[in-house]
Amino acid sequence: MQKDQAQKRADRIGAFREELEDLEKEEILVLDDRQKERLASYHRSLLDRFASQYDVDISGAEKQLSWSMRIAAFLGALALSAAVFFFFYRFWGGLGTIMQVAILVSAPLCVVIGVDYAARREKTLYFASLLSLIAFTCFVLNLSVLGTIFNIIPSQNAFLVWGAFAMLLAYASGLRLMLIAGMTCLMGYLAATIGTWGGCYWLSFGERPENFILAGAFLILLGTVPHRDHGNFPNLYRGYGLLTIFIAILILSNWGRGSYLLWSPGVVEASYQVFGFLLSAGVITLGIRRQWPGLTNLGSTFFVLYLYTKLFDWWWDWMPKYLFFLLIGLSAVLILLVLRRLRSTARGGRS
Amino acid sequence: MKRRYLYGALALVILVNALVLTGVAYNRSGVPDALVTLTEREMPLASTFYRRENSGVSLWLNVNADIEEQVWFDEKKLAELGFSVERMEEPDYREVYRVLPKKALVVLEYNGEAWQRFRQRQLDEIAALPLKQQQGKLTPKTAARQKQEKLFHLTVASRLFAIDAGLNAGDLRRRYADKGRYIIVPAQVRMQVDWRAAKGGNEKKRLRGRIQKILVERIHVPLQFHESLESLPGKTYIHPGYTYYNPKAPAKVRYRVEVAFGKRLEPWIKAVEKIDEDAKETL
Repeated sequence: MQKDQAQKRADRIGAFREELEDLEKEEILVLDDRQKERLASYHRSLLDRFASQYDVDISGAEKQLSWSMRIAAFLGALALSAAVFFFFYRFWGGLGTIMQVAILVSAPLCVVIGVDYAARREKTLYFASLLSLIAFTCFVLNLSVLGTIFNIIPSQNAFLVWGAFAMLLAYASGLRLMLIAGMTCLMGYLAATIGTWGGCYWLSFGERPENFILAGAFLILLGTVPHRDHGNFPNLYRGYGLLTIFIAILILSNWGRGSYLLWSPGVVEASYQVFGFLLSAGVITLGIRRQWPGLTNLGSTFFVLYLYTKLFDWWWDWMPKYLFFLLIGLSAVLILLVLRRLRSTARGGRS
Repeated sequence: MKRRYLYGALALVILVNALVLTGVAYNRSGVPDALVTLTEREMPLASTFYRRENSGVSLWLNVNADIEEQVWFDEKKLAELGFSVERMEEPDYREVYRVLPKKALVVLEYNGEAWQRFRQRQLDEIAALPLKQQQGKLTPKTAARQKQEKLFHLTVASRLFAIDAGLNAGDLRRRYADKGRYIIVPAQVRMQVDWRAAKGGNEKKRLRGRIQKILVERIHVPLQFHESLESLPGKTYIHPGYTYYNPKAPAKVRYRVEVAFGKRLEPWIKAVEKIDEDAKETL
């Protein structure tokens, strides 16, 4: 069992206790004292085990404090990473090349060892996650400054290596933040490499948003790989990959000249607009069927975004503004009605 | 915590650094591909906006971008570098800018024929100033000022010009064998419309190439050479691109740099030397 699963079980136990209390008050289900005692003792032993093994949050107050700690750890990690970055740049000019290289190589190694040490001392992994982000910063600094010191021709392979490093840290301790960092780097590498297949130099990969569509599709494929130890990672792969694809489609549906397709820009834009609507509708359906609420929300957000972008294109210039906003409001009402219909259909199906 | 992943991260850091440093050693091994002695004109100090926050020092590889010396980068050269120029029979500039840039190897010539032509054009323009003054196109004050400025620029302008490009470093080196004069550097190049060709009205628009970016244009200065760059005389100094003429304290060339370009065409600084204030730069 992983920490996430233990936390879910603890939450279910809390909800069950509250529901049982209500059922007893309403005299629907009343357990006798022996049953109550057995249940309470079983739950207590389970929660004690989860607390000692996984450091899960048992009460609401604990949960709130955990969130505060997570936010503090994230902000602290960002600030400390910036401190490491600026500290090095502030003083590196005064160091000889050998010393510079020694510091750059040893810094990520030392911090990774620190991650291991922190993880062994603390089950919640707040300090381990903080140190992981610093280790990642040190490694990015390591390669980019080595490139500067030795005047190395830039290469997209750096993104691959940074991505691999962040992924290793993410899988070591189940850190979602590191997984996002890793996916971002991997995305950069894939988009740049796909760009070179199209004949351009890798630094121009941003000029063709389609590079990101293929890179996003690759991340979605990674999400299909079963993750026994990190059950929430596939969701992140799917969500991040789809987010990238949606953003690329949004750009292409307004900037047809950025496409590989040799059609006229108007045709390219119209094609991507249709594709965007179909894809977002498909993602909403998939999210509902598979019960992936994240995907449903993402699909809905982009469906509405595509729709409003299109309405803006069509009507903003020639329509009085009050009428434009009235139509936007009415379209929102229409979307609400459709979603309500879908919701009641889903409820009917369940009953 | 899965410790095997952490061991993997440690191994990755060590492996990647070993690969990078081996690449550096390979680049610097044997005889360099080029070894040139440039001056502040070709390698001015790179101004860092956050200078207070960044103690590193680097020099800028300053290539003279005079448009007259880029006629070699025509449609034929673009085709050689892999651009499909035949698709652009009647080039629309928006279509041309859709074409993505490519990587190419650019030959830089130091203090050679391109510089002599550039210099001669400047001297011809100086010689034409009295006539313009006689014709009333310039006031005596403006003519004098322009002469001073042009003479000044001949003392500070970069003598490094891009003169050719190709895809094979060996072929280029065979054509430009003088390693003390010709440097081969990787660059990002792109296609664009030659607007000068369209100026006449009836003349058909043509395509030309442009060096968008030299891939390593800032060259790091190691600590042992910082001393030569510290306390340089003068308050005004040469900038990459265009150096503004300050009549009260015109910028002067203050140092020379020996730069090597290795097997992977990556540069490194071998020596930096201050130029004696009394020594005069030849025009």
